[in-house]
Amino acid sequence: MDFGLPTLDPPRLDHRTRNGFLFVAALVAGGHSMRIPLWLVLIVAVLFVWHYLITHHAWKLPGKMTRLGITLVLTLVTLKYYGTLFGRDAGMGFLVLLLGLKFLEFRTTRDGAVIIFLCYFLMLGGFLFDQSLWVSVYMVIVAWLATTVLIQMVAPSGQSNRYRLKLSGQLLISALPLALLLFLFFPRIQGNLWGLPSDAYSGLMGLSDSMSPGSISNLSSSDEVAFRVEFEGQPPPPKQRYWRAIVLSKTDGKTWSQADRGGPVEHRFRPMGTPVFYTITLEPHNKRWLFALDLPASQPEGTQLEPGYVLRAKDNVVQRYRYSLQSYPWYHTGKLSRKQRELNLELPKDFSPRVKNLVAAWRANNLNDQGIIRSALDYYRDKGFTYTLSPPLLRGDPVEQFLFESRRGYCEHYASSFVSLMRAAGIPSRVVTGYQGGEHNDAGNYYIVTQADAHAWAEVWLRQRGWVRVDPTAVVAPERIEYGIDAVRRLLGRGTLLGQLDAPALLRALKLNIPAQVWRNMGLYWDAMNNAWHHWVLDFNQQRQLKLMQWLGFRNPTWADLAVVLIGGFMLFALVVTTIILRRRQGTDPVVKIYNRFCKKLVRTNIRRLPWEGPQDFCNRAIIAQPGLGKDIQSIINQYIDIRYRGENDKTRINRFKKRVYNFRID
Amino acid sequence: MLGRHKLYMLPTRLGMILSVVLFAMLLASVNYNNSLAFLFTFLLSAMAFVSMLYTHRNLAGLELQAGPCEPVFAGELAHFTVVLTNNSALPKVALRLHHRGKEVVRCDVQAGTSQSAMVPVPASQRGRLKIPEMVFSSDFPLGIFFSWSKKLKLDQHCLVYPRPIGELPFSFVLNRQRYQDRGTRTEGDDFLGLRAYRPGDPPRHIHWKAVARGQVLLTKEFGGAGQDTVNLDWDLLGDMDKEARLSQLCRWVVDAHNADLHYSLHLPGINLPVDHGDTHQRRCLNRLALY
Repeated sequence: MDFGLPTLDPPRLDHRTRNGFLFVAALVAGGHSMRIPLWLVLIVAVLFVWHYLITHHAWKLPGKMTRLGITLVLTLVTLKYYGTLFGRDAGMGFLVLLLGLKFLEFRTTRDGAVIIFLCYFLMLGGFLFDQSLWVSVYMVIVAWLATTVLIQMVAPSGQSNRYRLKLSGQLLISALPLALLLFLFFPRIQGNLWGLPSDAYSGLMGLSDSMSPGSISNLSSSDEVAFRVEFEGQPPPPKQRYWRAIVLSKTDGKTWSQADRGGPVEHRFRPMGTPVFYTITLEPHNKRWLFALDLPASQPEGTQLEPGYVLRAKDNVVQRYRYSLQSYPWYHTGKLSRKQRELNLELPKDFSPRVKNLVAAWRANNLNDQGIIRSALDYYRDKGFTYTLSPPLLRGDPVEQFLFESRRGYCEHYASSFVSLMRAAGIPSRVVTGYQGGEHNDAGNYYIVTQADAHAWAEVWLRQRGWVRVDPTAVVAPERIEYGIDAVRRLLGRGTLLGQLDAPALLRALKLNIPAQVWRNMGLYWDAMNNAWHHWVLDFNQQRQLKLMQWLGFRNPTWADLAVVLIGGFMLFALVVTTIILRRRQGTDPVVKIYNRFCKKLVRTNIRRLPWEGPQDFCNRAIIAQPGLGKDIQSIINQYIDIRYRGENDKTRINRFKKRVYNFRID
Repeated sequence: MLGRHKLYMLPTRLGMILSVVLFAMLLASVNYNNSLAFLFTFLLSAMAFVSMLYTHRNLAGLELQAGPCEPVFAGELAHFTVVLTNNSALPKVALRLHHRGKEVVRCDVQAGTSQSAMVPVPASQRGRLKIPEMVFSSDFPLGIFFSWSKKLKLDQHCLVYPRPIGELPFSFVLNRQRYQDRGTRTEGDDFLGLRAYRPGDPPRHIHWKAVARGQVLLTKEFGGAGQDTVNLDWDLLGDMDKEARLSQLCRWVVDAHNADLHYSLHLPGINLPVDHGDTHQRRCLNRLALY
């Protein structure tokens, strides 16, 4: 069948359109500029400037061989730098380069469209690195501008920029319902298609699975969020907010590490008192461990309990993960197996005799286990120990060095030396690491635990009570537990000694000035918004999709059910959006209406405007036919031309025109 | 009027490229299991889909009318005027008008206005040249879908006069005529008769006495003083075929008009008496075009 399909001559690209392309490409490349090497940023910038000179200063477009040469050389350089052209990091770097190179052969509208499509892809690439609210808002704005440029390319003249911006905005907004439908019901395949490149989760930070006090002189001061917690009901006081993750039982005297797996799982304990219910939203850290308040009594689906009452995910956590738990702050863990006892008493063979002598002196005072613990804590309190975030490096035996010489350190030093003391005294004990504290966010009513809240403490086993948490850091720096790491940092920054001030003085010292308070609150609000964004948009996954389908009434949703919902929703969307977009809009421009009225009046004098007659031609004809009315006709039509075609369309002019037409009489 | 049933639509090559890009974006989203990437991919796909409606809307409800067309001689370009009328409240953007698959006009029509456009069509044959079937198209707004109307038949044609060529020079008729004239008339100011007044007749030739009697305006006709009168006669060209005769006569009409002569035209069954002026010429040429 002959549909009479016409061929199209592509429209020419003018300078203004090309400027639009450069602008959008610069915004997109700029969004990636922090992640690609500087030389690549500079090269792409040079390519953009080159294109600008070609279009605006009549520089010559480079020849085919030149282009091929440049492309080949730059591709090889990029390949050499990254070692590959695929994967997230290298792929995006390479695409940014291609975006720049495309401008060297930017002649036709097809090249223009390819540039815009490449920009779309690069925007998606940006989300693979950063999904924050801020980045999303930026990308939506850039996508809007990119679409506007595409419209400008298709219709380069005749319409204003405002019209194009409005139209592309309308396009995006009218697409939103369908996008949401697809987002909610498009089958989510868990897992990946071609295997994740190794760089997919690089740069995620978190705890380490071993610790070597004295080997690192600076504790992480990162404000990066580790996880957020929402409590149901009353949150526990700060001194109970110990988030355990890793139990370190093995030591060689310098480094503490986890015991080998396969030991008996001690997961039963006798809970006492009332439990705490809470939900944790964990930022991905690319490790298996999950965080729980001492001690977790439930086990969310897809997790398992491992020795030391620690919770583990089945696989590494590479996405934000949300789980609800129940913990008992008071508990009795009961007996210790022989194997466990041996493990938690182990000391290196060349353990410091000086430390042994110190403990032996306490034992000689006929003290029981609890007395020994008290003596050890007194030792920290009375012998001039100070809490510092930048302790000296320890040489030789770090435990001995710390206990007798340097006496300066942070949680890791205190926890490890304390456990060494206990083990020397024959008390089973171990180091636990995780986070301690958390800042309350009033805006979202949740607690934020940051990387800086990382903490290490000790657990000792007592016959009467089982495993008991002892935090030697609390003796030296009670502010660390009561007010959090941020307060400690501020106090230390001002040179205040920890553990010296009473509560009112502390509160005075910690009071923020007003700008700092405002800044802090703004930060908390922003975090609350980001958190909601994460919860409602980013964390939507297969499980949530399943729950949504169940909520809709599908008991065991299959892909076929998803397809039914998708198709049904799509038809509804198509119906509504078609009705809205294609509804007849006869609301002719009011100025045209007035003009038509004028023409109707003239019909009475037998001058009929022909459909193809422009105002000027009509005016000339009408004046010849009705010379008597010539002055009026001329003036009215001139007003019409000014308003409609010269853009002099302010309210007063239109009103004057209207009045003139209404007062026009044919006698 | 372009109604809904008269529009077709297909994706353009850019649309094909975009679909490949969107598919790649979907694969990347699945592979990295990235929610925002999914949302972005779906947003662009939905936008591509919705843009179909915008493309359709851009053409729907557009009115096409044909305006007058000045007659032309065969071998020239006939310029048809077509008028695009947009009665909707939205501008119609990046419109293209095609005939026989070739783009002839590109324009925007603002809301509530009309836009006229000239469509040049080569006129090869004398007679009535029908306005060609027109097709409208546009790939607005995104260039990924392309909509076009079915072939629109308009009721308008252009009169095409015969090609004004002929080997016989004008003097051929002129001489013969002079020769004949000598036998019938000697004086140039002879009164020939009365005819109805036509605008443009000199006032001194008006038959004022008749006016005074209350009759209609009449003009006295005289044999032109110092003017030549020619008879352009089909029968003079006995040994030529029909089209060649018409072309030759056409040529003579043009020449006679340009020389401001009074001439008559005689075709088998058609006799246009001696006269001059634009109206006379047009009448003669019409007869030749449609003979």
